[in-house]
Amino acid sequence: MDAVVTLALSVFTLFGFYALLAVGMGLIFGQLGVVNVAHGELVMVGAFVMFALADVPFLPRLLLAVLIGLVLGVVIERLVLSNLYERGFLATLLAMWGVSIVLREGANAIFGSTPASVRAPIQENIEILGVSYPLYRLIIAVVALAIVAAVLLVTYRTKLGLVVRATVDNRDMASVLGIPPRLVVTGTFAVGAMLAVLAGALQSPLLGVTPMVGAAFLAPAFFAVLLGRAGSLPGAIFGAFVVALLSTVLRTYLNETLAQVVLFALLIVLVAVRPNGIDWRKVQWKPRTQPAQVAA
Amino acid sequence: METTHAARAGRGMTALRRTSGIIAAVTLTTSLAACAGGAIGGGTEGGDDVFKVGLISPVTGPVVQEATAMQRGFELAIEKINAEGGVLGQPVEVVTVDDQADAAKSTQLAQRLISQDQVDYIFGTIPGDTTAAVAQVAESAKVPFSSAILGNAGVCGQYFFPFGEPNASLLNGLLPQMIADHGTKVALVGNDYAFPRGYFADARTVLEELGATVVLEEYSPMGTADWQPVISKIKAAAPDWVLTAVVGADATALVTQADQAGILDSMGFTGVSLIADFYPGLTDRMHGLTLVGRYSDQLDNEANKEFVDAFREAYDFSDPIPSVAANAYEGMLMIADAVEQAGSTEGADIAKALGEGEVENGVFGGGSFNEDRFFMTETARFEIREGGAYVPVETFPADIEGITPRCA
Amino acid sequence: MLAIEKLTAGYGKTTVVDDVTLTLEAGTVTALLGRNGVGKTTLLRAIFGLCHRHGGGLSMDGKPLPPGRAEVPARRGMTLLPDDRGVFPTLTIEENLRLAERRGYRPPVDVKELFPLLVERAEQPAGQLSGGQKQQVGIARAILAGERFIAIDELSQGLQPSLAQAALEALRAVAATGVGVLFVEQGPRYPLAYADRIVGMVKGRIVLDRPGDELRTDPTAVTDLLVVS
Repeated sequence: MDAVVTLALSVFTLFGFYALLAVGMGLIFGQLGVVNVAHGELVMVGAFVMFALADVPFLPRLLLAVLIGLVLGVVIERLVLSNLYERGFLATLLAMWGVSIVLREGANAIFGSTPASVRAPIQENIEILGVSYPLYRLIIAVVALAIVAAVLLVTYRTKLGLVVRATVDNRDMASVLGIPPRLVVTGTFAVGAMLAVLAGALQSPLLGVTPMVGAAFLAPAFFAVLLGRAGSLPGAIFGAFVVALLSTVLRTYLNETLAQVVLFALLIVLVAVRPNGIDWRKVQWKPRTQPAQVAA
Repeated sequence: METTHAARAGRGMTALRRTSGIIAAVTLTTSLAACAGGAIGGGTEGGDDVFKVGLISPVTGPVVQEATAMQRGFELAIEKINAEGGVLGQPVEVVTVDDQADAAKSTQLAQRLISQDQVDYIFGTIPGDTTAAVAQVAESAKVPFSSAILGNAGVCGQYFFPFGEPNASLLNGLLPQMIADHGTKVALVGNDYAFPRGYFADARTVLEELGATVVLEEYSPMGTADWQPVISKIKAAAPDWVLTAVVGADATALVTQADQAGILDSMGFTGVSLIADFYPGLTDRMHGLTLVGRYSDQLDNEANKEFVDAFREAYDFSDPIPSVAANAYEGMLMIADAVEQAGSTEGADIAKALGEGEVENGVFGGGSFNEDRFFMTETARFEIREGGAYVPVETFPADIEGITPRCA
Repeated sequence: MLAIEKLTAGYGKTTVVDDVTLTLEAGTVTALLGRNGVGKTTLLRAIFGLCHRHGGGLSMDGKPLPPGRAEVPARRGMTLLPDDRGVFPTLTIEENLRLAERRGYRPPVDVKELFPLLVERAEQPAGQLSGGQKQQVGIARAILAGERFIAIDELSQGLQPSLAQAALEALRAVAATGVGVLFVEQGPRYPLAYADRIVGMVKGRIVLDRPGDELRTDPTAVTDLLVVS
């Protein structure tokens, strides 16, 4: 019984973190058609923000991380991505790869490679069905899932979300109806980047913070997005759940090395057998109707 | 230092271009490799005895932290040696290269250092597989080679003189004490690469001799950020204490998450994850824990005071000083002495002098190579206190009972 | 109202619309007529900045419209129904319409009365509709968004005649309140029946520009324009 409760709690907490990563990556993927391979480094930035500003109380520090994430997102989109969309997804992927190196080396230059840590604001454990579990882990999972729910609500239940989804569906037509596509694209990327930075900030008290720490988070986020049906946003969150569940269960019942191998083998098989398997030519939330380029 | 080397390579290229106008690219590569072994390198200005050391320091890649500490200790030693008149009356020359902790690169760079830069000694490398790769090259070229990182490289050689702490010297003082303090059920938690596996294999041998049982042995991939499943396994296995060989950022994550899960309070916890290198990320979580090692900046002797002061000033460094830095420092000083003793920069002469040499009043006190060519010093049990003070509370004579491999 | 001045436009380096000068008036229904491939669609897209403008200028009420930014004409009350119908496939019909609504503007016709489909299938994703149904969504959206100027490409494509006629009646009612309407057709039937003014294009240029009444009595010019030469 205890083992089951612990397992469930571990899956839940990991799911919260991965869902936050996947929803950010899914937003960027869907809106911009960009495979954000710098997602892990944005997580790293969030963790370093929490480390560097250790004197600021925890909650204001989280807000600062959010702000820094938004600014960083705007800067990356405007400076790096905005001129590359026409050259296709490979160009933007390579550009983001470059961004990841710059962020990593930048962190290395500023903070060095000695692992740093961030103090959790809550040290207590909580007793759940007879199992003692770190309270902070549960709280950040709840917070992360609340943010994910908020992103879904905004996307599917508000005028702003409608505007964002319309821009994904048909960018030209959205602009003909008065939606400034550049603003929406920049905004979506900034929000996606901010969510990754925020995820890193929330997770930072559990990590050994180094410039390399982001590497571990790209694969789960990436597979979560791939597992989602046709790259839909709720699909990416479902994908995050699958990755968190498989990862925790395998690592609990197999030895670590084997668990890792089996996990990625399973994920690759899952992605491959999906009827709407990955198709790099349409990395949108749904297939886009291409506006006629040669016309009467 | 790298410029010396680059300029030399450049000269080689010019000569080559002059003589081989229309040679195809493939041939060019081959001849370049051939030239590297030839006279173009220029070497050590004729037959005079400038002592030249090649430093292989993986300051980019996964072990930046350890490599940086090693390089710093090494460079302090070189500064000290040259300030005191150098070796054989001439300043020591250093060629520094970065193998990025990649064994294929290590082999290549070691060959280049020997054939092209004509170094008399090779120092460095961090991961065991890169150390073994370089040891092999050095052995066949009869160029002596030393590493400085703790753990066993798992190789032997007439020209290989590792200054790192042998696993057994770390374990022999530690394990009996942990069993006495906490009990006989032990969990082993490490990262998945050569060092932790070797360290735990040696630990198992010693533990079994002492009548302890290993209730869990777990190796997680490098870069593991979520340790919850491992912590659950530890809790389920209910050991009396945990021996760790998790390193780098993973060590910080493991100890932090273990602390949050209450493991540090409910059972014994020690091992490589607690070494001074990882203190800055953990600070007060470690306070009160103990581990066994060779070096701490708290060791009370003149040589260590000099080293600690120089290190803190040169690198504006306030954290506990990693042992790899002290190993590199002490090692390089001993090598310089050996060359002086040998009166020659010939590999065989240096190796002989090193084997016979003995350090007195060094940063670790005394030290010398045994017949297996392991560097033996006293070890101590350190208690980790406020401010990262690794305070020696008990010392043990050099003990490598159960060491692998036996090289003699 | 909308002044097109010596406009040359196309895709990449190709020129499709060649030196077109045309002024469209408020309250007038203008038909743009021509055979397939003469540049009608490109002219419409050029007005909204959706293709490359090589030369010339555009202005609305004397204020210039910048190239490459379709949201600017949209903010001045102009809208376009492109020939691919431009529906948002994952959005419901209701959401498609909501995006077109303008704050403080209610068109004189009720689009939901005009096309009952919009109510019957309100919650269906627009991507699942047939071509003619998408055209209805598109026309409704254009009427909702076109506070000052409505451009409709290939108005009758996919529509059964009764609905095309109803749509044109509705557009006339909208034009009667001062909105400029421009619709494209390849055949003479609807332009002759509903347009105040008929503009004909051949090879990227305007070759015909006469009042509808005049051409209704003598349609020779229109039939000549459409005959393969």
